[in-house]
Amino acid sequence: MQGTVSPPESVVRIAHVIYGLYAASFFVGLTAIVAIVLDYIYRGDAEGTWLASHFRWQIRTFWFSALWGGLLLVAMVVGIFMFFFTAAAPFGLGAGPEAIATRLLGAMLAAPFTVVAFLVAVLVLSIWVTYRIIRGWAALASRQPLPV
Amino acid sequence: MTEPVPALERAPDASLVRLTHVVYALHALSLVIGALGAATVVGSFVFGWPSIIAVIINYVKRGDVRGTYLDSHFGWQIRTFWYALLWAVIVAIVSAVLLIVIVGIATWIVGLFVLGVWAIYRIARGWITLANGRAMPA
Repeated sequence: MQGTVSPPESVVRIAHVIYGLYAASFFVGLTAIVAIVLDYIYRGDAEGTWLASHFRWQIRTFWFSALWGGLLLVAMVVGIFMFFFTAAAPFGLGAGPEAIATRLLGAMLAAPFTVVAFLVAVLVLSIWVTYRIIRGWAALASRQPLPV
Repeated sequence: MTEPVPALERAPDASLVRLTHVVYALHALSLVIGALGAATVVGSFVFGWPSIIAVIINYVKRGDVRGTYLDSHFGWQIRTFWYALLWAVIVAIVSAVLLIVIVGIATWIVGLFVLGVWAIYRIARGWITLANGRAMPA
């Protein structure tokens, strides 16, 4: 149960600004960095109040999307390289120029699919982040806490 | 001519009525972006970010409008989004298959144009009904 202490109004305003910065990060990525820094600076001031759940919500949204975005990017690059290294294997071409040509061709053919899969995954991630911002900001506007 | 509000319904918050207007405006913005810019109106309608934001607002605030006439508008807006997405996917798949015999180009263009017109009708009818303070049919 949330404490009955009210958070300072200035910190409530900061929480609004942070949601705005996360929303702006879709256009200017850097604002998300400003936002997460503000989250860590001010979350102590919200402890024991309904506002604390908002800082938690924002921090989790940032780290979840940053980690998944990074993982997907690495997966895409690794995927393309894997096609490069395994493309020649079925043909048993060894290491000569035909092998290299086959590998390059394999990687070039597979790369678009890998990139498309990456883009679809990033789209889904972006929709989730959009939902987190809208749900959080709406709850903040009504001065409601978010689920823990 | 306005109908009397049924006795069992409650009147919604003015802020929620405004929010429903905002949702229609977001969908309209997506349609305009589609008509001016993107390849197809319905493609922009569904995948354009304003429409995604609009449908998220619909789901986040759905509980708050239950028991009011706004609930019928939220339902209208949500169904418009998902049916448009479903039909766009069907048109895309059918066109991709028919591309082999060239006809796919025509089904893509005509299919998405018709869908765009339908989306415009849905948003226009819903928004005008909201402006008159009335509920949408079930």
